[in-house]
This record gives sequence, structure tokens and C-alpha cells, in this order.
Amino acid sequence: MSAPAGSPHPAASSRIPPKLGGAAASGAAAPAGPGPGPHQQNGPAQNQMQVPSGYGLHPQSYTAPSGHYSQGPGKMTSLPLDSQCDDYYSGLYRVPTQNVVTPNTASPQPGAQQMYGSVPPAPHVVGSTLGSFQGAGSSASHLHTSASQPYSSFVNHYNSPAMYSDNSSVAAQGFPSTCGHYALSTVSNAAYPSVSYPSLPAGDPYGQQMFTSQNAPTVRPIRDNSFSGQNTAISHPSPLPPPPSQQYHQQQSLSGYNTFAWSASGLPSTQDNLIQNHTSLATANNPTNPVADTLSCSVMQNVQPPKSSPVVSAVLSGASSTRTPPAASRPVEPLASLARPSELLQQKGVDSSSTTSSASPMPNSYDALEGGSYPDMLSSSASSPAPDPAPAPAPAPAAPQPSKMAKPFGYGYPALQPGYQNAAAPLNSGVPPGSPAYSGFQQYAQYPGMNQLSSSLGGLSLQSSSQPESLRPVNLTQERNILPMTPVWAPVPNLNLDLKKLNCSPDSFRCTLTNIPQTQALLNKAKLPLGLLLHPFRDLTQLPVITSNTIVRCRSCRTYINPFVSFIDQRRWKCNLCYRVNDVPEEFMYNPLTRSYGEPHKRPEVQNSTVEFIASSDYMLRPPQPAVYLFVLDVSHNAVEAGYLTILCQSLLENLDKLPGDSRTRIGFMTFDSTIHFYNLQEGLSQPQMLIVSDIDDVFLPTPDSLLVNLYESKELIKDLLNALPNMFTNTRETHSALGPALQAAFKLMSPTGGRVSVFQTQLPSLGAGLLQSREDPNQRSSTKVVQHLGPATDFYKKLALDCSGQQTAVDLFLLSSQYSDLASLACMSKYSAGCIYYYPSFHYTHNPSQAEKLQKDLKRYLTRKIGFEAVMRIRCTKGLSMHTFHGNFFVRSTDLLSLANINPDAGFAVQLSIEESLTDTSLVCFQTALLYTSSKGERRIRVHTLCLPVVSSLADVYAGADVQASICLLANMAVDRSISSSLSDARDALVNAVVDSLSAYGSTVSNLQHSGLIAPSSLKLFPLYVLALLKQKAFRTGTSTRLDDRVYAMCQIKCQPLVHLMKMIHPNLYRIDRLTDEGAIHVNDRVVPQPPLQKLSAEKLTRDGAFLMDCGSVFYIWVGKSCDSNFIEDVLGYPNFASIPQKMTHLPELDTLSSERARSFITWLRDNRPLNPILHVVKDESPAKTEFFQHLIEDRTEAAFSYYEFLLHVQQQICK
Amino acid sequence: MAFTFAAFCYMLALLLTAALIFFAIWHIIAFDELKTDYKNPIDQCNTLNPLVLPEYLIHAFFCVMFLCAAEWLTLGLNMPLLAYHIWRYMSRPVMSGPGLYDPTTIMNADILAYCQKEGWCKLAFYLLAFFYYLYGKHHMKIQTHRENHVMTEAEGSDAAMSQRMPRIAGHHQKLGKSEEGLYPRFLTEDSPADTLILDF
Repeated sequence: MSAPAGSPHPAASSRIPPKLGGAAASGAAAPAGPGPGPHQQNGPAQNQMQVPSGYGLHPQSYTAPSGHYSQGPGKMTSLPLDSQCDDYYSGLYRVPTQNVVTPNTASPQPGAQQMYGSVPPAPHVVGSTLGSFQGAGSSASHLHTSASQPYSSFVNHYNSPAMYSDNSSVAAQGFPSTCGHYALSTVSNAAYPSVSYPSLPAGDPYGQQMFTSQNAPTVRPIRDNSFSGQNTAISHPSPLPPPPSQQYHQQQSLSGYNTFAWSASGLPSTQDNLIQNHTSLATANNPTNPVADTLSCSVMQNVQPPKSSPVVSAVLSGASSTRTPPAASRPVEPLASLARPSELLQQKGVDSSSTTSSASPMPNSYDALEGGSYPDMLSSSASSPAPDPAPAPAPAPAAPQPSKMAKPFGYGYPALQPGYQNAAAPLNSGVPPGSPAYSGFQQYAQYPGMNQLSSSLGGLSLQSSSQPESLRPVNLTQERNILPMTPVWAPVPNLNLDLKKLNCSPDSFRCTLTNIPQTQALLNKAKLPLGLLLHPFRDLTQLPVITSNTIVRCRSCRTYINPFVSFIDQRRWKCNLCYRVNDVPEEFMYNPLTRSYGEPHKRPEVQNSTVEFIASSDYMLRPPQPAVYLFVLDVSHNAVEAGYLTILCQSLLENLDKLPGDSRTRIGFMTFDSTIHFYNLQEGLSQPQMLIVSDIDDVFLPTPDSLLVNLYESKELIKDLLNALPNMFTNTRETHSALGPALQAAFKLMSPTGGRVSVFQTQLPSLGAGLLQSREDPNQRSSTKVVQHLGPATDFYKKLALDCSGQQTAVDLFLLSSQYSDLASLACMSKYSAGCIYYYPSFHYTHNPSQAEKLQKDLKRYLTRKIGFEAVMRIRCTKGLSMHTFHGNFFVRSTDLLSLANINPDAGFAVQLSIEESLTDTSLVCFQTALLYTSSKGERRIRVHTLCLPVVSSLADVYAGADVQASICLLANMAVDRSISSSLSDARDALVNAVVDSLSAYGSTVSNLQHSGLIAPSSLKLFPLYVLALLKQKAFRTGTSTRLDDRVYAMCQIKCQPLVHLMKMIHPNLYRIDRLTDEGAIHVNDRVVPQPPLQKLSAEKLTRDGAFLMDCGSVFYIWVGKSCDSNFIEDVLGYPNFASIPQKMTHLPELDTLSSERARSFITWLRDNRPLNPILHVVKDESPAKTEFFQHLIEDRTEAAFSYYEFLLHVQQQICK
Repeated sequence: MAFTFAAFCYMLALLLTAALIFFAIWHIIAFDELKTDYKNPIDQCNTLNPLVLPEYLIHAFFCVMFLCAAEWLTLGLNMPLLAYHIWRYMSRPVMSGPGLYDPTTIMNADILAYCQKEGWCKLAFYLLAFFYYLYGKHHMKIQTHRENHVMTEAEGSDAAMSQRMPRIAGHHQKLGKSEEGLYPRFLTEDSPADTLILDF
């Protein structure tokens, strides 16, 4: 392990080295090491790199599923071997490791493991029981880890390093068992830190504590030495020119030999490990062993392993027992744990499946230690569908064990060994580099295979191509089924495994180009948009919360310390954004996770790219505000007629106790028609008191104190009011609406505290300030020429929003209108105050029950979801990049600071970037988002996300890293801006030009291909389809009758929806649901959720004997064909035959049949965690409602728009011009 | 009379252009402050917006003056900027108050860069215009002076008058020679004429 780890690090650039040096890296990093190194910098290597990523769009997820094993072997055999040894290699490593790792509960803390992982102990031990040791130790340790005894974990570490060496040597000898060890050890470190956590949180710290206490004093000096040495050697080079390791990688990539690089890189890494080991060992036995000795020892051990290798896992346990002795002083508890590795493994597998892959690196255990609270864990499935679902499958647990033991070995074994040897060789004697490549390949093959996902991803078979999959040219005009059968995952940045593992989840933080071009000129050449898509306040399943007195930040750029900084030595770290060298504060030297001292690189801040700090009073301008909610309700005739009050009051009554907040929570109500009504809810009143202000030209607050009242003190009065409100205005004849003055009053009411104002409006405001006129000409709805009035008619609402924003008040707008209400103007009140906008066209509580139900469900989510107050978000990026434009609901306070009066988990943001200075002197760029907010409990918190991406210098690499979904979302945001500032047709042209330009730019780079068709890189093959979808989206379509408000709402949605939801709005998912099976199903919360393949959005896919579900984000359609299987109609829809299905059907009955259960669980799964609760419409083939459904079949021709094929031809024509 | 009115226009334009230069510098500084995060965009827009219309009006004002003075070349040179100002103000974002700058969009890098560029361009234009007016002013004065001279020469029969004439005539000749000469010289030479005009 150690060897590989070493190699990757150097390649990784400066950041990694520190970690590695710290020894922490050694364990976890090691597996990743080989892969990453090549990835980062080599031009050639990148291709290879990408291939893996292409496969596993989500490496994490892949690894997570235990399923790997079983599948892996098969695939491996079939797959052609490429030059991508590195990747494969890493993949192999990982796979085994992951599987193995899962068992180790101890693993949760990468740092801890790593520490342990330091090989040195092994060597020491080895002296006595070298061979047995490693083999046994590794296996045992892994298994044991679950036990969580400190020592056991220790053993594991030993094993892991030892394992490596063993493997190399052993492998050559042909011992499969050793391989197994390998896998185990590696896995533990790298793969699932997060997963393992839950199971053994207590244990790990325990062990570590022990460790630290014993070792710390003695070891420290040694470590330091090793540290500095390592750092100098490894870390330094990376920032400047390509470090030696990188060079190696390049060579490797070129030659296709991983081994070579390995060996080279291996040396430093091994040394590191050794050093670390020494330190640890030192505590045990030899504190003063010279590094050289340790090295030799390790080597020796490696060689010896063959003996141990024969030992099977069972044996291992025994070995482990032997192991423990070296630790003598420590408790021998681990043994017991050793006994049932299999169980542990299974658990882990399960865990992994359930946990979000995205969350991977975050251990939670330290939370307990630190005293921080866990954030609420929402089921990740909905929010992060892509990565998560994959791991889930049940089969994993069962499969992993056998697979580990048997399959990987069988295939990879012979090949792997050479590689290992090579790695080892440098240490002792030069070994021929050639052999390792093999192993790499096989591993690679396994890697994809292992994942269940991969199996389901039929389209990924491309693995074998020598080019990165994402660069494979695709002839779009000849590719009939361009849409993959499975959801499109985010591409994985081409980083080394270590960084990949640490990198931020694509659900929270995504870049349109995962390979950042070196210069603006290169970016211009590529003609692709560069930007970030953010979902910063997403509901997370795992989030490390850190409480510490000093939050470590760069002194010059104020960047928060993150996993991608480099530690120059133990006392100094180098900022990864501005490259300033900072001191490590004394407090940071202590690791609360492991309770050890002197390991700043193992702090949770440095181990997780998404963390949350509890901020001190330095981060407050005033005491944290309480949660304050104000409801401003339209009670004019129109509103009463629509009947929303009943639903709102009902929802409020139900969720009053669930409103986020603490004991200080305050709430207030206002209603308005042509006058403004306030409600005095002061505690002690017998009933709510209504105060009417009719002077709307000069609004004042009738009483300053008792309008916003404490929720708990006045709960009875509030309930009285809510019960009375729906009936208070039933006979009103007032048709006017004085929204503007009401908002002014709300602002006055809220300005002392800040908080959230929820405005319910049902018509055009017609009185007082901010009154609006109808601007829509219904005859122009389907005009293909000019769409006017997309911008606001007045700046009243914008100014009001800015005032509110300045007072930390957000205004959320619920527009429930049946006629034109000038959303373009009204939306400004939310846009600039960081609120959100809900729109319910033609809302009526009886005439339109589906809208009523939607409102009800949306309200439930709205009232109970998390909320952050008085927030600001700052986005920082590496020197040379700069923020260009922001998209979303907020006010931009300065070039990189967004002022968010409220932040909610459903808010998404987009940022356009530009490259101001050439990035030639760096191989990685980082982006950091810091969101400072006051939680509903009155805590000041900072949530920090850090994303790390490689820099490339060739156009091909830029294309290889393109993230088509992110690009489309960013383009959509830009197009909205364009249509408001310029015109809709301009925006549409710009969208088409984006495709034309990027594809023609790509076409000119692949000169060797004949221009027989429209060529796109595989990474962008969906680009034209998505752009066509955008052109047919409500926001941008022309020629189809679209109400102005609908269009404006769609634009608002594009601006503020996070990527996952936006993509469904742009390109709906179509599934066939009359034949759902459990094949490939995933398990969520004890439910089996079938995963039907995606169908392309074309009527050709609709067969009359089928039923199809379309997921449009905010609406579901179930289209039932005329001759649909009667079983389906009966079992799922609950009607005897097609004719009896009603025209308006919005629910699936809960029938006690298997197919009904499947359909419902699938739909529920799709619905989970949507910010907007989708309504379900069952559409019969003949019903008039089917036009709605057919509008979304974007690949088909409509009167006003191209079909997909026509669009391609159009693009091709444009390119040829 | 007409000549002196033109000269007066140039003088006025000279003074007002100096003010406009100040405006332009103020804008440039303000946008730079925005770019470097020193100021809140709301505050900055609130200080900048009231300055926009005065600037445009001042410029429009002396354009009208030149029109009245029938200074066609000068007017022609100013027309593009006048047209730009009108276009710029017509296409301003929806705002209730006067001004151009919207705090919600001003931080957009494109718009900020545009505003800065606009500021620099205007500064350059005003500076050039300043010297042009200076030149124009003196040119006018000389013309006026010449006119005066001709008039006095024709009408004056006074001895005292004729005594003084040579000096003025000499002066005039000198000026005529140096008309294409260096500016500073011209300036210094001209001072007597100045008093003449002022006396007028």
C-alpha cells in the first residue's frame, strides 16, 4: 500500500504530499496513489484517467457497491487491456480495498487508519513473524477493525502496509490469498471511511486514543523528521514543476506501464510509510530505527509475505492474534472481533449501500468527540439520486466476501504481483517494470464490473477503447439512441484517487468543465461555458460539524483550511487558493477525532471537503437572530374565491410545531385587500385582535410590539386565528389588492429582526405603491417573434427586496392566480431578497384539486424544511480564476460575496467563471464556497464546500472533461439573462450557437475523422439534445401558446433550481412502467424500488400496449396506451378496463398487488426530496390532456420546432457554413 | 457679436468640460471601488445615480450652445457622445429614480467592465475636448480681436488711436505667424486679447 500511496501523492501535487507525509495519507492514499498520479498531469495519462472516470462516472458510488466483486471478474476477462494501467491499478486496489474496507469499522477515520496503516509496525513485527504477520495481520486486522479495539486497528494498519509488500512478493509467487489481503487493507483505508463510521464510531477513537497516548510523546520527534523530509521531497515539487512522481506517471502513461511509475513513486511513499511506521513502532519497540532500516525491513517483509500469503482469511485471524502480541502492552481485545470478519463485511456493504456515496469522505464520529451536533440526515436518495442509488443494491453484502477472496485474486492476481514487485523493487533492487501493466488492466476491468451500476450501465461497454471514453467521437446523426438507459451521472474529475475521494460531492458542487483549461484562450477555443453549479445548503446525510475556538483560515485570502491544502511541515500549511504559507495554530495540532497531537493533516477539516463549523462571535455582526416568520395573505374577493386560505391555515396548524426554530421563534400574520389588517396576538388576550390600517399611502404599524409574537407563548391565540381566518372574509366584496403597501408594512415589521416573509397573492396588485397593469397580450402568446415584458414593469419590488435584504428579511412569493399577475414584476421581491417563488396557475381549491394538493404538499415541505437566516455566501477560487456572473436568488454584495437573507435547502446557484491569468504554474485549481448562516436554533454556522479540479492544456482534454448537464444548466441561466436583457430570440440563437460553436470547435480538433456527420465527443453527445430540450422548454419556446406568467415562472425556476431538479425540467425522464421488474432494483428504506430503463422522449417509444411515466420535475404524467395490458390497468390503476379510467386521475390507488406496489414505490422514490411536489396526472391516450404530455416529447417534431434529427441537420448545416 | 458669443461658448464649454472630467474620474474611481469590494453596490449606485443626469445635461447644454453659435464642427464632434447619452439613458434598466446604475446588476462582471471602460473613454474624450475648446476659445478670441482691430483701423482716425495701432498690428502679425506654431506660445502671446474680450 505504502508504495502506491507514495506515488500518487507526488503526482497529486502539493496538497497531497502533506497528507501523505503525515502518514495518514499512506493508508488511504496508497490505493489511490497509482491512479491519481497519472491522472493529474499527464496529457496522455489523462485519457487513460478519464476512461475510468467515464466508466464509473461516479467512482465513489462504484466502489461503494459491494457488488463489484462478483461482476468484476467477468468483466475483467472480457475487457481488453489498455495502457491505462495506472487507473486500473488504482481501481483494483480500490476494489478490493473497498470491499474489505467496509468490514473495518475502524476505517471510518481515514486519518486513524492511515496512521495505523503505517507499515513500519509490520516490519518490526515481521522480524518475528514476517510472512504470517502480514497475511494474517491484514486480513485479521480488517476484520478486527470492526471490533474497534485500538490495537486491532493498529494491527490492521500494519497489515495493510505489510500486505502491500506481501502482495508484491506474494503475488509473484502466485498466492491468491495475499491478494485478498491487499484488497482488504487498501479498502479499509480508502474506500468507505464514511460508511464504516456509523458502525464503529466509538471504537476507532478509542483505539486511536490509546495509540496516541502511548505513542505520541516518543514518536513525535521522529515523525517530524520524517515529515519534513517527506514534504520537502514530495510536496514541494508538485506545486512548481511536475514532481518526479508526475514525470513518472507520464512515462507510465506513455509506455502504458504503471509499474514503472509505481516503483519510482513507490519509494517515497514507502519511505513515508516506513517513517510513520517507525513513529508508531517506536512507541512499541524501536523508536530510533533509521529510515533506511525500516525500509529494508519493510522490503524484507514484503518478500517474506509469500509465506503468510498462503494463509487464508481464517488463518488471518490467528495471525492477528499473533500480531497483537507485538503490541503487547495493548489490550488483546481485537481477537474477538477478528472472529467474524464476514459479518462486518456484510454490514459494511449494507451501510455503503444505504449511505450516500457522495458523502464518502466524511466521518461523523468526531462529531461526538467534538461535541458538535449532527445535521439532520435526510435520505440522500432523492437529493443525490445519481451516485447513491447505485450502491444500494442488496446483493452487495453477500457478494463482497466471496468476491474478495476468490474472484479478484483469480484474475488480477498474477498480473498484480508483478506490479507490486516493481514497486518494491526500487527499494531493494530494480525490478522490470513491464509486468505490472497487466494487473492494472485486470483490476480496471474489475472495477467497473464490481458495481452493480456498471452492470446496469449497458452503454458503458466502451471501456476498452484506448481513448478516454468521454472523448470517443460520436456521430450524432447516425446514433439513433443517444440517450443512455440509465440516468446520466456527473463526470468525475480526473484526479488521483486520493483527491477524488476527498473531493466535494457533485450534488453540492459541480463544474461545467471537470478539466479546467489553462488559459482563457483555450477556453475560448473550446467554446464551452465555464462555471459552477452550486447546491450549498442541500440536505446532507452526513456532515462533519466542527466546533473549535479558532477556525483555521488563510491569512491573506481567508480561505478555510481544506483537504487540498498542503502541509509544508507540521507547523505550516500552504493555501491552495493563493499559495500563501500560513502557520498552523496550536489548537489545530490536536486532533479531536483521534485525540492525538501533532497531526494537523488528520483533522476533520482536512479530511472532508464538506464541513460545517460552529462559528464564534467573530462571525456575528449582532447576536444570532431568532427564527421569525411573517405571513402576508391576500384576502380580497379573488383570494377568498380561490380558497387557498383553508389549505394554508390547515397546513400551518399541522406544522406549527415543526416550524424550524427554538424557544425564541416568533410568528405574525397580516392580511390585506384594499386595506391592511394586522393581528395582535399578544399573550394574555382572550382572542386575536384585528387592527385595520386603511391609510395605504403612508403605512404605519398600529402597535409595534405585539404583531410578531412568540410562537410558544401565544400558541393558543395563533391557533384561534388560523381556525378563524378562512371564514373571516367569506363575504368580502373588496376586489382590490394593496400588495405594495402591505409589503412595506411587512418590511417595517420585520426590519428589527429579519426573518422570512411569506406572501400569498392571487391577482395583480391594484392599489397603492407597486400597482401593476396587465401587460400581456393574449394574442401574442404563441408569437414566434418578440416576447415582451419578461422584465419588471416597475422597480418598486426590486427596491423593496433590496431593503429587505439589507434587513436580513427574505420574501417568499406564493402566486396563486388564475389570470395574468405580472410575475415578472412580482418575482423581483423574491429574486433579490433570496426568497423563493411558487406559482400555481389557475389555482382553485375545488375546481383544480391537483393544484390544491400540490400547494398542500409544497407547504408542508416549505414550512418544515431547514432554514438559515442572515446568511452570506462567499465563493473563492484559485488565483487566476475569477467570478464573472452569478445566477440565482440573492443580492450580490461584492465580487464574490452573495447576500442571502435566508437560505433554504432547495436553492441552487450558478456562477460563471473567467480565467484572468494563465494557470500554467498549477496543476490543480480549487473552488471554495463558504456559507455563513444562522441556524434556526440560533447558532452561527459556516458550511464550507471545496472542489478540486485538474488543469489541462490541450483542447481534447477540455472536451474530455465536459459535464454536459452542468453546461446545459449554466447555459440555461445565461439564456434567461439574455432573454431579459436582450430578447428571447437572441437567447434562442445563442443557445443554438453554443451547440454549433462547440461542435465545430471539436470537429476542427479531430481532423483525422471524416466529416461525414455531426461529430461530438462522447462527453458532449447529449449536448444537442439538451439544447433542443431547452429550446422547447416553456421558458424559451416560441410558436407554442405560452402564458407570459408561465414563461416567467419557468425562467425563475431555471435561475434558482439546483441542477438535479433543473435537469428534469429541461429533459424529462420517461420510463415504461407497465412491466416493472425487480431486476436492478435498489433498496431504499426497506422498500424495493424498481429501476426501469430510461426511454428517449419520442412518440416512437410509446406503444399502445404500454403505460409510461414521465417525470418532468414538477409534474408526473402517466400515459396509458389504448390497448394497454389490462392487468396493469386493473392492478395498478384499479379500473377494470381502459374505457373506465377517468379523465382526471391524480392518484394511484393503494392496491395490494405486486405491480401496484412496484409502481407506487417507484413513484414515491422519484418524488422524495423534491422541492416542488410533483402532481401526478394519468393521461389516457385519447384524452385532451395528452397534448400536455406530448409537448414534452422533445425529440419529436412540432409545428413550431425541429425534431431532434432535424435539429442535428440544422446544426450540421450551420457548422458547414 | 456673434463671434464673441462663440468664444463665450468655448469658454463655457471649457469650464464645464473640466467639471465633466471630474465626473468621469469620479465614476472610474467608484467602479474601481466596487471591483475591489470597498463599497456596497447599493451605496455606490446611490451616489452615482444622481450624477448621471447632470452630466448628460451639462453636455447637452453646451451642445445646444454650440448649435446656437453655429459652431458646426464642434457640434459635429459632440454629436456622437450626445447620441450615445440619449441611447444610454433610453436603454437604462427599469428605475423609478434618475440614474443608470442598478445595484442588482452592477456587480455583473460584464456590466462593471463596461461601465469602467465607458468611464475611461469618456475621460479621454473630455480631455481631448478640453484642449480643443481651449484652442477654440483662443481661436475665437483671435478672430474677435482681429475683427476689432479691423474695425478700429477702419474707423479710428484718432491720433492716440493710431499711436497705439502699430503695436497691435505688430501683435497681430505675430499671431498670424504663430497660428500654426506651438500652443503655449500662442497662449502667452494672447493675453492682451483676453482683456479685450473681457472688456467687451
